[in-house]
Amino acid sequence: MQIFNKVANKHCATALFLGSSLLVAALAGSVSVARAQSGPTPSAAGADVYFVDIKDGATVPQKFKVHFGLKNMGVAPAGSNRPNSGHHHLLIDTYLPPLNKPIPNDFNHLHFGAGQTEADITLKPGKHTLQLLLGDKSHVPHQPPVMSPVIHVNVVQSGGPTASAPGAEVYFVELKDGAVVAPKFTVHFGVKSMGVAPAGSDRPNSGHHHLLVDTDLPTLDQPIPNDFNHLHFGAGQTEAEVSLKPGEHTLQLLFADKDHIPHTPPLYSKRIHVRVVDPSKRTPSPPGAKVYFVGLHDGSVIPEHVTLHFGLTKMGVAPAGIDRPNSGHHHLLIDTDVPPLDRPIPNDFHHLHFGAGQTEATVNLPAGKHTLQLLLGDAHHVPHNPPVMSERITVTVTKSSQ
Amino acid sequence: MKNLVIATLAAAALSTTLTLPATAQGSASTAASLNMAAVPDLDREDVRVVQRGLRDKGMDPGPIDGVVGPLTRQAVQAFQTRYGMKPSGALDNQLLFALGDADIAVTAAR
Repeated sequence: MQIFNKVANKHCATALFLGSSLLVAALAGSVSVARAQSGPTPSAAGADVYFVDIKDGATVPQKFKVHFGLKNMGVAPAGSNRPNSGHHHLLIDTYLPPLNKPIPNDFNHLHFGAGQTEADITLKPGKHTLQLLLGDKSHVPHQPPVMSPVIHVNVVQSGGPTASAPGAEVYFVELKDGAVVAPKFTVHFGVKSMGVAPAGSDRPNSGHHHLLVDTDLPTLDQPIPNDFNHLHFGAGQTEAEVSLKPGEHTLQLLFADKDHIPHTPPLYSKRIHVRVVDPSKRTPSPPGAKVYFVGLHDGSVIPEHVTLHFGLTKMGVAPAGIDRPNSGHHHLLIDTDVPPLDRPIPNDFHHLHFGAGQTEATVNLPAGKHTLQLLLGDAHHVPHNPPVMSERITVTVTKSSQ
Repeated sequence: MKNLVIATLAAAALSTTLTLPATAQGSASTAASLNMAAVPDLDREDVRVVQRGLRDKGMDPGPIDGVVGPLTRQAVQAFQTRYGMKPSGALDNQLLFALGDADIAVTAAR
């Protein structure tokens, strides 16, 4: 810079001696230089900035390295006046700033004015956007701007030193979010793309289950605590009988290595909510409550395609999930015994749920003898106390003559 | 005597060089002081330039006809989304800068 100044001064002095025509030329030169310096700094043709190794949609750990790629231009520190150069700015979770002004300097706009071409970034777990934008010596974008498209990254919490297998997952087998369960119930643990090995075992691509009850995820690069909220299954169990007090609870599975430290990326299931219902405190039904098939009796002969009407006396119908006294919703049991009355009615081809509050249903039954029975369930599909159920009737289905 | 002449000439030169960059800065402050959310008046040739810019960036603005129709708007939105701008579809100054057409923005602002 200084050298350049000296040379310029000398040039200027020479011009003064040589006469006015050259002086004008020199001045004209300085004008064009000044104009180039004060307008937007031009970028080189074909210049491009890009993320070297992170693709749009990538899953990355909380701490990760970003490499900045630059094509057809050079990197120069902020303040340097070199043509066809600039320095990197990393935009995180923000719109492109105004392209005619210096790029802001804050948590969303990271400056790399020392000419860095990589950076270690730490982001909270979740979805984030990243974009690169080159700035000139004064942090103003070039013209045309040299910027990358926005990329989206999914940041996952980092775990311990043991790697999990790609595509690995842990999940609850059959147990769904919102399930209603008895105070004592069995939870089945599923794991995909990895094996189960007891704690202490050095087997690669394996780990053991932990059931988190009513608690958030623990610190994922530390051993999982061992207490009532963090149940360890270090013997390699894939199911457990769990006892919970009646009420709302949350359950989550967390897989961990031989030292009880979660893997990287960590493997944990969705946190699900369960409602534990005490059978002795089942929803009471009023005296005289009765459910029945309208116009259908034991021994009735019906066509294959038939609409059944559900009758209900001394109670009201309310959709599943609505906890109104003296109400419930219908369940049609086909060719099956009465299910256990202290827990939610199963949901399958033999136990049809009418949780929207339906009072009739059209069914298709193959020709032959079938049994039908109605059973009212409460807001959580658990039969009332005493249960409100119809007689089990046997009907004969005949091929419809049409 | 000779020294005095040089001094005068130098002073004249200095005063000229001092005023000239000021006018140069005038055009610079136009670019820097633009409201990037403002939508300038563009003629058909300007719009064609924008459409060509969008096409060069891999967007499909439809025919390069200098008319801002639904295809051009869609292309603008796609470009805005891709490069971290609010997908407004507006041909605002920020879009012109992003396409490398700052000169159009500056000229239109005059």
